[in-house]
Amino acid sequence: MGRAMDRHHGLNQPPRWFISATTIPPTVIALGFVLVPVAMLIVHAISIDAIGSTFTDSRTWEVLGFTTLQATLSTLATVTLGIIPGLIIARSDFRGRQLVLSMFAAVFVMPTVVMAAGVRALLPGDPDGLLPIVLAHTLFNLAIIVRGIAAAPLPTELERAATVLGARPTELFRTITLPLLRPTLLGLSAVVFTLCFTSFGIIRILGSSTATTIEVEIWRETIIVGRVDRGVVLALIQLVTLALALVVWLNVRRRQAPHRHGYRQPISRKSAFVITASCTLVTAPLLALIYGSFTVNGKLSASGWSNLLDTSIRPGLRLGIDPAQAIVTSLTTALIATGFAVVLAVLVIASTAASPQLGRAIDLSAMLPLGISAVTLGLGLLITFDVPPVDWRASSLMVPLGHALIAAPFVIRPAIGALSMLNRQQVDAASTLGAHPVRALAHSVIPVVAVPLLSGAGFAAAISLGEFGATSMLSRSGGETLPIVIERLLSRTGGDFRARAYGLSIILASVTMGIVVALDMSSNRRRR
Amino acid sequence: MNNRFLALSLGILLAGTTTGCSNNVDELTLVTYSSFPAADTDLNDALAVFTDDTGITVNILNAGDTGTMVTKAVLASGNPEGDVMWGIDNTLLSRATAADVFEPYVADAASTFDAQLVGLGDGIVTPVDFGDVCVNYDRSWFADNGLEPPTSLDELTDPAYKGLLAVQHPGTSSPGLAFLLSTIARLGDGWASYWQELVDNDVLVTNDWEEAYYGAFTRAGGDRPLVVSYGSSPPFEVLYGDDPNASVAPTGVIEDTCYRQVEFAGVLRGTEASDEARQLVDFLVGSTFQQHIPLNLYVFPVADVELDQVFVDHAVIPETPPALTPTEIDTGRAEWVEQWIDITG
Repeated sequence: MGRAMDRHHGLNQPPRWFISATTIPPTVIALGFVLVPVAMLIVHAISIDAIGSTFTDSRTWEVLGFTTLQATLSTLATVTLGIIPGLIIARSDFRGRQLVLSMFAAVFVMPTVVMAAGVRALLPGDPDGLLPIVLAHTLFNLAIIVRGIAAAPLPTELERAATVLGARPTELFRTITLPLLRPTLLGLSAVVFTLCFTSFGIIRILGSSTATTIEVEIWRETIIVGRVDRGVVLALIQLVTLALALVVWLNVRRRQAPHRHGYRQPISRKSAFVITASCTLVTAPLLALIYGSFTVNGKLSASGWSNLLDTSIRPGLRLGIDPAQAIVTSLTTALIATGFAVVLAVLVIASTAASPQLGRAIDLSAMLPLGISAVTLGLGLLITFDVPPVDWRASSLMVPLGHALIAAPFVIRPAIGALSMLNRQQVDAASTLGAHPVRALAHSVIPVVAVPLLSGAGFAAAISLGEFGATSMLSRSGGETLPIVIERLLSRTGGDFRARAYGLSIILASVTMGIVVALDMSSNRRRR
Repeated sequence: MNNRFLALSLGILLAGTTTGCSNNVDELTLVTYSSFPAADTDLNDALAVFTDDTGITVNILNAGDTGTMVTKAVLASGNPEGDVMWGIDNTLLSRATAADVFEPYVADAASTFDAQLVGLGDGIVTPVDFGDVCVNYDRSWFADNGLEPPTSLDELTDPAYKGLLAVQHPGTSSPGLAFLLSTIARLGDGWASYWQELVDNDVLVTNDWEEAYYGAFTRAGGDRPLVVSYGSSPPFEVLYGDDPNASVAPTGVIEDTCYRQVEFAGVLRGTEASDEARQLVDFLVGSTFQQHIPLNLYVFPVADVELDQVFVDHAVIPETPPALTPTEIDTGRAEWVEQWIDITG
């Protein structure tokens, strides 16, 4: 067998140690921090009784049905709404392009409570159920589609040629643009589908007893009702369903189309209108946020802002909440989490470049943390890392590590996508001409993945900054992250706490935009 | 034979020394819910007094909201994340005791507390604080609309108050569950038909407290002047409001709707510092610590300590019906909530 492989790849295969060095660490992390803890919890808690009662309970299937329905509709809506603005941004040069792109990312990290309030403002009279859920998911995830398409290079020459030959715009879109875009779109929509399928925060606010997801049911059974055994059965059902959906999806995706770089042109008036419209849509919740930060007890007031960083109400009356420290904690956490995620991504990219078969398996397993319920993983970590020398239950690195696991797919997937554009003949030629296989690989891979890696790092930082669910499941001592502090402020009576929470949300959104803009700009400079 | 005996006695000797070692514990971990302040409040300063007295530092471990904290403690029963737990309440207690989460210990001082509260702890944990969940009303809305606010649970079904009340879902919200329990404790089997009348009177159900208090409540710009919240909400509206010396709070409490929630502290089974953990529980119910509870945790102390003037002026500690026991709640809850969902559908 080894010989057959050798014949295929000839002399240019990178050495075995390189493949091991890049494959083993991500595998160990995926196994140790995701699979083993989840398996431990399942083994610990599962019972025949729970399997029987969960599978025969008609509610399980109703919830699974609704979960799938809302995730499918949300994905369709997100792709439909995101594709045109994404394409326009991809191929137009206009002032504020970076700002528009980063604005989408800022919406992505908005606290769910605030997004829900924004959606309610847009849909008065119908506060709960399918429509508001789909709308909220669409607004949240538009960033993934728009930024993903904007980052994917499209060969504009083909379209130009077709236009010269007299193709109408709709025809052009259907016969040329869409087929070229298909692999990118399928990859991005898989991520959106996964996020909507496992949605938690939005469903807890905008859902109801019947309009709910498996992820929320897992939480309800485990935390509220205290039936951990039923919780793990539901977690298994969620994981298996999602894995099946993703395998189908990614198989469609494998038929990749070749990519080449295109170039940007000035924006047309029609395109400018589309961009303005989609910006208005995503900024609606942001505007609701700003308005809320200036409203105290139904009246306009700036006290939320003037008291924003206060740790006490007045001398002698302390709050026990320190927003300034939370900003520092959030930034530190995001820095460590992004570092973790990028290191993981670099290893995965290196092993994918060296051995495409191996890479595909890792690429799939990197999606895993997104499909696993935060409740299940959090409790799994609790019972796995509970004996010395690995009693890490309250380690301050647990939170950034959790964030990194959640963010890693967002760094890995676009980079892997870019890798498919890698010209393998060039790599082979370089090593035939005497370059060390690892060197040859590095020389050809780095320029291709640097841009998606940098923009992925920005997204990872954004995800860490906005993360709430997993953080709230992990035990922690010391500093709280900003989303947790926002939640704590929102759960207090009296005063201007809500305005302060909204003000802090704006700070969170601005910091996120800043980081994303900075990384996007530096990756743009590299592109030129 | 001889060797085995030697090994055995050596083993006993070693076991003896290790237990002996735990006498100089210099750190304890207090497992708490997420709203317990981690630093910089009078509660934390009080814990520093404990450290000064005993030489033992208290680390605060935030384990998530109360439900998450208890679920984790059940999973980690016997190998706990800390030594003492603060804040498990009477709706969740039986889940923890069924899993032997606690090493039974009740502080001596408990003999001076309200016997009903102590009894709920069942000799396993010590009550540390209590608070009420009550329907709150917006005083200025009722004044502006020339309507007297309701004074009893029954009156909430009066058509005069149609479309005015917001409650939370008992399946997902802790005050929502408390209000459902309030109707069950007061009305017995009649609770189901009472809720039907509330539905007919256009009660609004929200998923959580924030959505009701900061969304639907008229004070937040919503259209519901009656909302399920806490008995301590009015004093905090004053305390955190523009005028801390206001003579009347902007919101009021309908005493007849209140339901008492009790929180407990207990020694976690499996701690290596059982004696010190007990010392800490004693301290948590002592007046040094208890006097700072209202201002920092928004609930009332179990110990007889002087209350801040704002609570004397604006808080009510109503006569509530005997709380349902933790066991009654744990066995009945799932079915009650399901029935409730059917009614409010």
